[in-house]
Amino acid sequence: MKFSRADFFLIRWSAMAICASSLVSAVLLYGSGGYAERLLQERRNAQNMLNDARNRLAAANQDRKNMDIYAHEYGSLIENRVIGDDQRLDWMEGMEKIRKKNLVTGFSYTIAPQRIYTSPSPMDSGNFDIRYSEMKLRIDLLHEGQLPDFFNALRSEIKGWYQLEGCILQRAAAAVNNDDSTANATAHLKTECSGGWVTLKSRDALRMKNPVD
Amino acid sequence: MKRLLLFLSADHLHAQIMERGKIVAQRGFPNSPAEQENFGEFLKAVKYPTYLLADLIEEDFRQETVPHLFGRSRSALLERKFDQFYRSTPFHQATLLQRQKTGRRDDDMLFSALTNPSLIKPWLDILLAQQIPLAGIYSVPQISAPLVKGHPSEHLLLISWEKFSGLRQTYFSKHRLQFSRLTPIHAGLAFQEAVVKELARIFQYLKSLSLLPSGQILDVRLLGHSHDLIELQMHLPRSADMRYDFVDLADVAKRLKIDYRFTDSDASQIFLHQLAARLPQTHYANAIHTHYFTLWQLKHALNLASIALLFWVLLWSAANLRQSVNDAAEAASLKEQAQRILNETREITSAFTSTYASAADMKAGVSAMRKLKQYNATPSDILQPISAALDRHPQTELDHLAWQMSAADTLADIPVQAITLKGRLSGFANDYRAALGYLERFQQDLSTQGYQVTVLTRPLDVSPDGSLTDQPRVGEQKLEFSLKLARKPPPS
Repeated sequence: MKFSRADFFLIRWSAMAICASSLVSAVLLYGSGGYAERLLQERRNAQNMLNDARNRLAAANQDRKNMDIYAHEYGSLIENRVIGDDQRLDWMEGMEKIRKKNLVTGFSYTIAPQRIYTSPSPMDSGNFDIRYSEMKLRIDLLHEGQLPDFFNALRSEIKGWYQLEGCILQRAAAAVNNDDSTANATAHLKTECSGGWVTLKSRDALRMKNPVD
Repeated sequence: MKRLLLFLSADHLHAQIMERGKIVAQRGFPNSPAEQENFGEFLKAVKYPTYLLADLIEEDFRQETVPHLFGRSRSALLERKFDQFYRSTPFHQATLLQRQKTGRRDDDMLFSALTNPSLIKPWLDILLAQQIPLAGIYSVPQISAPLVKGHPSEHLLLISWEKFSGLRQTYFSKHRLQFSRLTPIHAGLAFQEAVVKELARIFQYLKSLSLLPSGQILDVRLLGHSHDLIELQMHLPRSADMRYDFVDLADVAKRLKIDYRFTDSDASQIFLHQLAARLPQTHYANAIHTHYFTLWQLKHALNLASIALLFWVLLWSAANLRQSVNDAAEAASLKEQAQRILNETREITSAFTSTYASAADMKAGVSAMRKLKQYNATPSDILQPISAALDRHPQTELDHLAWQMSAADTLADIPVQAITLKGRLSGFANDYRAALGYLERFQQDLSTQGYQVTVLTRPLDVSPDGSLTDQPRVGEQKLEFSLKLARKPPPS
């Protein structure tokens, strides 16, 4: 069957109706689809917001728990000046105080430049750099019992943490030869101890100090 | 939906508009130029699908057996047959009666045509001029089959009377239309008389054409009003060759669910209602005649498509909107929950403001320092157990003691303290056996304190790999030894 222009005239309203309904349908589909998509996205965002809020609450609860556990000990670390910059002047003054107490026959020390601490086993220090100022001690002792007293004084008199790595105790030459006349006046034991002052430095503080880095 | 049904006889056209199975308007048009003009006027208000039912004498039926073909070959064959049988009329059709079960399995076809187009054409031209959507041109015999449906006879003659055309006699063999004949009833001849007269003729005609096999009884079904049927029963001759079946039009109407009250034996409304209810698949009109119906169908398909599209889109949009409303409500609820949780979090964190650092930093700093303290060995931790062991072994004199944290050697992630002892054994003169035994006991004492003891040097190397030299016994020998101890620092 063939259609003429006159035939189209007979079905013009129906043809226009299908065109109009197609147009309206397209607009409705696009509009409603867009609206639905926007609200779906809003719901997803709200869900993400809720998940984020839940995570934050969990983190806050964890922080509160951590604070209950660690705040006191952390406060002690601050109090003892373990956290922050190294306090070389304090250490020197403290050593002089100990010297005046005459706990040992004599001692000398050297403090090396500060460096990053190398842990013998893996250690998570979080947001802190563990810094280490090596201090070598040469101590003359009358007997080995003086050594614990010296280090106890080091702990109590000086704010900070001295990490003792090791010591070498050696009988002095005079004592080895049983020369009692000299042993009374001089040390029987020569001691060399190695260790260092440990400080924890927050990386945030470092960044604030050196913003360019 | 409204429909226009036309009943065409030789000298009259009956038009009726039907809606939901009921006649809403009807009018008759005798076959004259003036009435044809009136018909044209009548059609101006009509834009419904139209069905033309012809009840004309000039309808021819031919049975032919043709090869069973498909597609274009079949169309070409049928066209050849139409040219051969009905060259002079465009109103023809072919109906498949059956496919033969033997031989080539050819098709038994019934070719039929309205052989006097001049009776139809004037009315048809008016319909086409008015652009009326003509669905098809049908004939009364063509739509008679449902009236004999279920009848047990294989040779059945259906007799009906149509007021404007006459007495219709349609013969069915095995319920398939074989032949039909229309006899006009002249004025003055009663319905009953006409039936009696024509029945004898048609019986002879069927016999002569061998359509009714000899010895077979012809069943005759007569449609009519109950009053006429009672009279007819009295007038019809009793014959051994024929069996009568009188059917009241009211009963037929009831069976076919036709809402019409019959006042006489005119069966036209049965056929018109039947046509409106069940359209036959084939008809006499060609594509040119049904051109406007095709357009009407297209128009309605477009309208339906428009409505369906809009309906579907509205449903889809409504579903989208509903989903959106749910999403919006859920989003609001989620935001409210999030806000509540954030407020709770804020309350918790507001208590942190006076602290030195974040909780994570606190934990990290404290944990790091705890671990460092584990590495630290105080002199008393090292010296006390060794001093106690020396006190228990007074013949041991210590010259050198060193300890160092060993990074290479760890136990449970804590570095081991490696301790070196160097000393002498005194009071054994040159009794090496006693001295070595004493050193052995000293070693065991240290081992019981938790140290792993390794002997570096002994006062006298008596191992198979060592070499021994005799030494002059001048005074007491220095019985020197050195030991290596490994000890894990105690947890702080």
